[in-house]
Amino acid sequence: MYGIIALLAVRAVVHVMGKGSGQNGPTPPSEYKPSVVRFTGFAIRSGFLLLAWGLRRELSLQWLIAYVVCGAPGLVTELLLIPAGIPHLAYYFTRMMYPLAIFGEPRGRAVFNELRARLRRGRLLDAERLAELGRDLVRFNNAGNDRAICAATLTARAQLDALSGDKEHARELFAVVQGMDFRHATRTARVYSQAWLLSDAAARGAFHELLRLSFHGPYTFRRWFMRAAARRILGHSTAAQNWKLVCSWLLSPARRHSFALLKRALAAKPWPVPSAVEANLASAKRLSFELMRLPKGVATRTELAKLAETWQTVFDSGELRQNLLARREALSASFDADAVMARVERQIVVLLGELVSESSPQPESDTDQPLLLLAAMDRLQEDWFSELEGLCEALPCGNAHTTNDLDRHWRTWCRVRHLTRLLSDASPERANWIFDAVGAELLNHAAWLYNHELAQTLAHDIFYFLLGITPKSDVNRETIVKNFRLSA
Amino acid sequence: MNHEELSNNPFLVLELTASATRIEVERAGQKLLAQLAIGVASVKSYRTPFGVRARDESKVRMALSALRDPEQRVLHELWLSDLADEPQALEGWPGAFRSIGWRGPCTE
Repeated sequence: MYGIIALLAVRAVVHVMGKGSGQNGPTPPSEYKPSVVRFTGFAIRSGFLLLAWGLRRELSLQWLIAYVVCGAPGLVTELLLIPAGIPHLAYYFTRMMYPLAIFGEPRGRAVFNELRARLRRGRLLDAERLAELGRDLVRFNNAGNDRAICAATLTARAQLDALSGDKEHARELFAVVQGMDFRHATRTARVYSQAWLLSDAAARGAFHELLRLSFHGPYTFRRWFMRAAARRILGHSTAAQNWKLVCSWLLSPARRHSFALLKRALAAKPWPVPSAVEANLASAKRLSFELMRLPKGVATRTELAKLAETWQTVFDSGELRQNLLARREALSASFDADAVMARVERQIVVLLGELVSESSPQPESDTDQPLLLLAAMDRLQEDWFSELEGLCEALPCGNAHTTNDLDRHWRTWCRVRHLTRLLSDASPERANWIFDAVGAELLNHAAWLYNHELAQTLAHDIFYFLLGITPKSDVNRETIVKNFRLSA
Repeated sequence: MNHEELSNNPFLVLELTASATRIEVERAGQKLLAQLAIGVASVKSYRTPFGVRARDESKVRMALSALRDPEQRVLHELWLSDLADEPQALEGWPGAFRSIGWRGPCTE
């Protein structure tokens, strides 16, 4: 009796909230805003738990367990079903506990949990089984919108991509999920995405990427520990002391598995310091090779600045020109020494660009940097911006026809976010240029997604991103804030 | 100029010094082509400042062609390094995926 009254009360509140947000009437539950969906879920689960507590003396043990399972399905999934690794169990339990679309993304969440369970024991991961799980995963629902596609669905899609060997797309999807707004992303999905990205970078030995990734996504002890370990392995001057590293490991999850990483970080020796340089061609060449031979991310921006300065001196002193003229005479050739010098300069800019893209930024302004290093950063930026601007110019907006292809919209958005992250990670001081370059296109595209394609979750993610990069004085900021609130 | 371009320096491919004459270049190239044609195992790789790289006939031909052009040759002379020891590599953490309960295939 009490249970029925509680459910009726929840339904009444949901109806009122739906009215408040213009969602009354005979609309399917999947059209409710995430806040309404979240409230419904919490209210019903809390109702079950309260009933279990209130009736604990009257109910038999079986009924009590059933009430607790209904009240805390997430705990049962995380602590029991996923670690057990029994195929299908996590899937059907999630579908049963999160019926229809009342609790948000029922199928995507079920696939996400099912894949995690299967991955525990490596069972039923053949291509056919995965294709079956991934069929029609990221698509519009029957109401024509994407309210049932949130972080868990995208994480499931990323897991499937990774399992099929397409790690590049998987990384982009995971990276978007870990940075999503909490209104559309459960913490479980964001933490999992972050953990996958960090593990992927560590498995490849790309500790410079790991370091950058550790500054994004939710605050977790895993991220704290892995960042500290990466800094030690890369030999950074800001690396944590032993006791701090051990403390962060003790607080992080999966300590048994990550003990190997801790041992490695503790035993990490400093990398060879580049030899002292004189301002001549031989020294510049030697320093270039010494820095190029270091693992990615070990060379610091200070060392790169020194390299750029040395090369600049070689150019300015005329040593390179004299060297080229001497070789031209020795080879009895007729090439233009100035043209060759220009080619060498371009090659050095490319070389510096490679090194800059792998190194960690330092809090220094553009004006303090040598010209060659600035040219390298400009070139990098030009490469990334040209792809970013090309992508954003091709985004549908205004009165463009609807495509009904949600998967493609998400993939394009993931690529855009990947490029913006590359730009802001490599040179944070230039991150505010992103809005100037593509802010208007993204705003129009998000508005089109919301109004025409009814891809409201995706539009919200774009508004959420724009909100973070729009200058407070910009004329579009008010529109972005309004749209962000509307799509939430 | 990246690792691959520096590793494919024609002087390294042909195992010559920057002072090699045109005749020495041709001789080294033809000798390597002949050895590759009969499958001599020792010439299928060469040392670079970034580790050992595979050598094949197309690489040797490209190296020969590059060194015949004086302009390209001086550029390659400039980017020739005598550092031959193996660079220190940063190995990955094999247990990374296991730490998140991922026991699936991890191929690229």
